[in-house]
Amino acid sequence: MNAPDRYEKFVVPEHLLKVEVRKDTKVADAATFVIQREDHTVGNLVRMQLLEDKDIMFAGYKIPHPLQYQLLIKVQTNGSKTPQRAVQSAIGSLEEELRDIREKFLADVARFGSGEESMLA
Amino acid sequence: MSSRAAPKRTPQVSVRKIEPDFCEFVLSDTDPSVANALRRVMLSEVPTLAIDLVEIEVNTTVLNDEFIAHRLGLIPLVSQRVWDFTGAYDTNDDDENALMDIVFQMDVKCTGDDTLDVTSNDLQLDPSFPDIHPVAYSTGPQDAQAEKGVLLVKLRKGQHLKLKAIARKGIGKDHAKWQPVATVAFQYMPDIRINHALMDTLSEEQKLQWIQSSPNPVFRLNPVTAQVEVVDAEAYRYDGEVIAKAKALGKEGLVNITPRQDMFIFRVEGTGAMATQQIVVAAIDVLLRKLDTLQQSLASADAAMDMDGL
Amino acid sequence: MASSRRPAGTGQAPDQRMEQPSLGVDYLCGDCGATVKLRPGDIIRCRDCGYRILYKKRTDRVVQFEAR
Repeated sequence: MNAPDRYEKFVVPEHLLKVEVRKDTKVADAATFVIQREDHTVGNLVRMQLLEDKDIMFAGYKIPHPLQYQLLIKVQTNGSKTPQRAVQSAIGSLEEELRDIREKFLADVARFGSGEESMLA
Repeated sequence: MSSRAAPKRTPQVSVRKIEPDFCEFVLSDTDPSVANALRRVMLSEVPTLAIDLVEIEVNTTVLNDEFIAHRLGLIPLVSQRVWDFTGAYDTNDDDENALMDIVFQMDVKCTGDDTLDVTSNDLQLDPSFPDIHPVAYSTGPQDAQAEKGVLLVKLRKGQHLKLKAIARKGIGKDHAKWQPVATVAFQYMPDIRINHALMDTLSEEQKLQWIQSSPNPVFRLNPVTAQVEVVDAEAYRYDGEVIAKAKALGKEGLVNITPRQDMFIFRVEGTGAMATQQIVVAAIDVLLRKLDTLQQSLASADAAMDMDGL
Repeated sequence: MASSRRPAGTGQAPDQRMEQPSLGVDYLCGDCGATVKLRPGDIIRCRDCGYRILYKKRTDRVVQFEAR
């Protein structure tokens, strides 16, 4: 009845930015990233990758309300780089890793039914 | 982005089985968050085509209009060409003639005395997209074991169903009818450590009892060495039966089983909308695109911040 | 299945009714299936068999539904 439309889960409204960076006013080298229309998929992925980084003092994510389709990622670094740089490099590593997985998956798939109709584009 | 503080992982992929609607592969040397992101994207963010609007002209069947519309929506459509299309919510203002709608027609009337099955095979394809059709689609004589299609409704003599169905691109987050998979799950590979010192305190009969307490064949008694060994770690369903049995035998700590955090067995069951291996690759692509969007937004947020600082 | 649908459904359009005030509406008898034309004030009853349950006819327009 009064449920929000389903598309609101993945369409970023025009008045909002996909990512907003809020610097922490009290803690140095800390920031909160407000990401619109993303969920645990990206939240947990980025957080876990951030925690691999030795320069990260804190990294966590939360989805404050299930009907507000936004994701918060909080990051604090040891000062050797800004939180933005840390997140950017985390995403960079993830992209690299996923490309690697893609390549290896395709290579291994090629061993199967190469004679049959290949449905891969 | 060039400096990487985190040690780089080198994931491995080993494909075990590929069938049209099923795929099994092992992803290893990566993090559960990567495996889970992949699983979640396959479920709800890989786009497919599905019927989204139904215009009903005549319906004298026993099922009401919305019931039939709902059933039409759930028919998987072969979505190999989904990438050529624009979804209803995609921001693609620059392309005037972006492809959106695929229009199917249906007009079935029962004239004979026997009940007539209306199936997905009664949908007439869009002449502009002859390669987009429901799964298991076949036209012509519906002989005994030909592909039967998806049953929608049965007609009695004189009943008539006439409609237009419009298919669009969408994702599972919007509605489950757009999911390319029936199921996708990953299993953590178990790490099974048997305490052999403690195991040796058991009699052969006790060992056999303990082995048989597992509902799935995970362990066996080596007939030569009379030692208990793992035959199939993967068969372990995290049921804890062998642990409970060890406790009952008064030998707590006989075995220690933990899920490995770096090895995942994926099983993907498709709906027929796409080949399963295609779904996996599409999921990776969708995830990459998501991360790329974030990266770009971060870069622009960064630029905005630098401006503030000055 | 609360499908939002485009305006449709109720047989005749209001403007049509204004032009011809009491031409009557066709109903179907629940028992014998005969068409019964009713005007405001008429007794709800089939003229052929006397059955008192009448059904409204389906609109002759196309009705649109979301397949959800």
